[in-house]
Amino acid sequence: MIRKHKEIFKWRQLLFSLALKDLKKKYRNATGGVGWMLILPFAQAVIFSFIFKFLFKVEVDNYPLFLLSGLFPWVFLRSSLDAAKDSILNNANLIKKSYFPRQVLPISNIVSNFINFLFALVILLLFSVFYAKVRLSALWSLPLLILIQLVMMCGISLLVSSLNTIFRETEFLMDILFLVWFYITPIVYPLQMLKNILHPAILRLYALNPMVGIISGYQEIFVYGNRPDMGLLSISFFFSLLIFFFGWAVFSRCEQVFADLI
Amino acid sequence: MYSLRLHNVSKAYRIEYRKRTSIREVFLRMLKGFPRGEFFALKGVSLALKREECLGVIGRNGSGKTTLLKIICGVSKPTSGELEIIGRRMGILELCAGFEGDLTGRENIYLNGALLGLLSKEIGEKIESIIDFADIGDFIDAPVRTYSNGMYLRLGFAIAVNISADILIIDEVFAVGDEAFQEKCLKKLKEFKSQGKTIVFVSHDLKMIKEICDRVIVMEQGSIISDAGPQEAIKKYLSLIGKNTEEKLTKEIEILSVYFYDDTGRRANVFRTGQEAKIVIEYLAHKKIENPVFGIGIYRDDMYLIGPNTRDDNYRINFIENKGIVEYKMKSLPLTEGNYKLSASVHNFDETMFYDYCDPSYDFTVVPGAKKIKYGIVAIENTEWGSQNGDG
Repeated sequence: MIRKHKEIFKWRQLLFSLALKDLKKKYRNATGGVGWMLILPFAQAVIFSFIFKFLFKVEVDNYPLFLLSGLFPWVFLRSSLDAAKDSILNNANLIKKSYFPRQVLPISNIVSNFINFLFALVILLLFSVFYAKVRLSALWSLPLLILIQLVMMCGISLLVSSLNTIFRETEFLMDILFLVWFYITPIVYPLQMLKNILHPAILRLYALNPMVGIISGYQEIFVYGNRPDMGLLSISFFFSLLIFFFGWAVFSRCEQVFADLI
Repeated sequence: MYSLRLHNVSKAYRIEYRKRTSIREVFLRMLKGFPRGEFFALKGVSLALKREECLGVIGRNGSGKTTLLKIICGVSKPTSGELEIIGRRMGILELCAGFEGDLTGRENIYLNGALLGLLSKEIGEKIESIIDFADIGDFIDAPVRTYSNGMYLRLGFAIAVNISADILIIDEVFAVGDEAFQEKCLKKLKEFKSQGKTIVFVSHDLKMIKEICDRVIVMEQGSIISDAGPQEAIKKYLSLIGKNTEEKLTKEIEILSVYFYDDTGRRANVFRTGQEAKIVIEYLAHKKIENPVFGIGIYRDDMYLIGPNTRDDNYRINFIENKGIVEYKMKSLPLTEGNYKLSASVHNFDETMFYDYCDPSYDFTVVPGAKKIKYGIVAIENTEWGSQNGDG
């Protein structure tokens, strides 16, 4: 596995070239460019603020900012994985005709979406400066948060891209799982709210979802100016690594038959 | 000093893989047990290539040529056996496989370079020589979807020969491109040999094989049945395809080559349905022959589609001597999208004596023309539908 990682490092150029190709294809012919990528989370933020603030009277300060700091990372996750699941099928020609570590394909989708996410983070930071308090001491932990999210996403992207190649049902299952995942992650509601109403045992189970630590981390940094909860984050880190190795193992097994299947 | 070694390599395809793309199928198979349908595309192939060697690979369709290339490239893994590579191989099977239509030629050079394992810096050092070699002018900054077929392949070839791979893998590329470019490619390949690189070359063009390869293997049913110099291997191949042509033919007239020309008068082997196409047979008559009959045959997937000849079309050739050409012009190519092969023959007037015959080995491709025809093989010109209803 270490050897394989070294090999992928050797192919880093391909990783970036593919990501760049993705971005160019997407934005070259669209006025507004990356802006389009940011519109979706904004629109979601507007809709959710309306529903939860005015209809359900959720008591959260700075609710739109709170929503955005959860929605941007979520959309990053969602759009990367959506693209990754088709990455093997869509590049059938490359796989049949040329040799390179196949892991590059799903991961390049994360790279291209990560560039969009960086823009989103800048916007988030600006909002945070204007509407809330940002502390430098909290901001230092942002790279750690991003790293954990990236590790988890790499694992899932490897998993879904290989499974979707072999079982075409994966695509549909993913839609359902994403929907559930969205609501068991504190994006539209604060984690604090659950702490008040859930039994501690259930809460512990809830925190096994690696996105709980990650998303609430973003919210702490951008909305409250606090450092992320390191306890939650270490759970996220542990599970992200687990997902990564699992995804890697599944991909390596499936990879053998890609060229024969597609 | 070997650069490439295959030891007892086999590749089996499990036949059920084709259907295994749903969860239900997989579970059903687990319950029933896996059927043992296996198909060996390669059976225990051993091969060692030295540096400076140019290996030609010939064989019938389905004989395992492409599978062999895929294994050498690294695209698919052998089921059993070992592959040893010393140096850097060119890990791409088809020159233009990595091209992205919306990106410009220049951007595609970077993308393809990355696909071949190069870093941006390394590509930057070579980009000038690649652009020079491709010689497509200002088109280099236009999206490649606007390229002609020839330009597309020129760029692909230019990238392939300018990256510093030690083992080059080339699958039929010379077919498109004018003679000047073909010359250039040949020269470049010969240059490679002198630089100590290894070339693996697959082609149906026996003339080309003869010219650049110093060793040729003949594949049949997944095994190497002949591994020899070009002359001997080609002879073996010809006898294999059952024609035993060289023995029965008198060779008083030899067919030197067959070319295709499109409506602009340029050499081509990709045509649109309905486009004008011209087939030119180049011959050499060793003595004066009276009333020769030239014919061609067009095949698709071993099906013999048409076989016109000069006699049946009332075109009389009184006599021929020395070199010359015979051409057959189709004002509107009556074939639909697909890959076709062409054979050529020359015999005497009553077909009692055959001077020369070329197997259906000249490939050409037809792409959709102005009128979209989805079904069938033949596109008939000047047709018209009519209808009547009720009492009419």
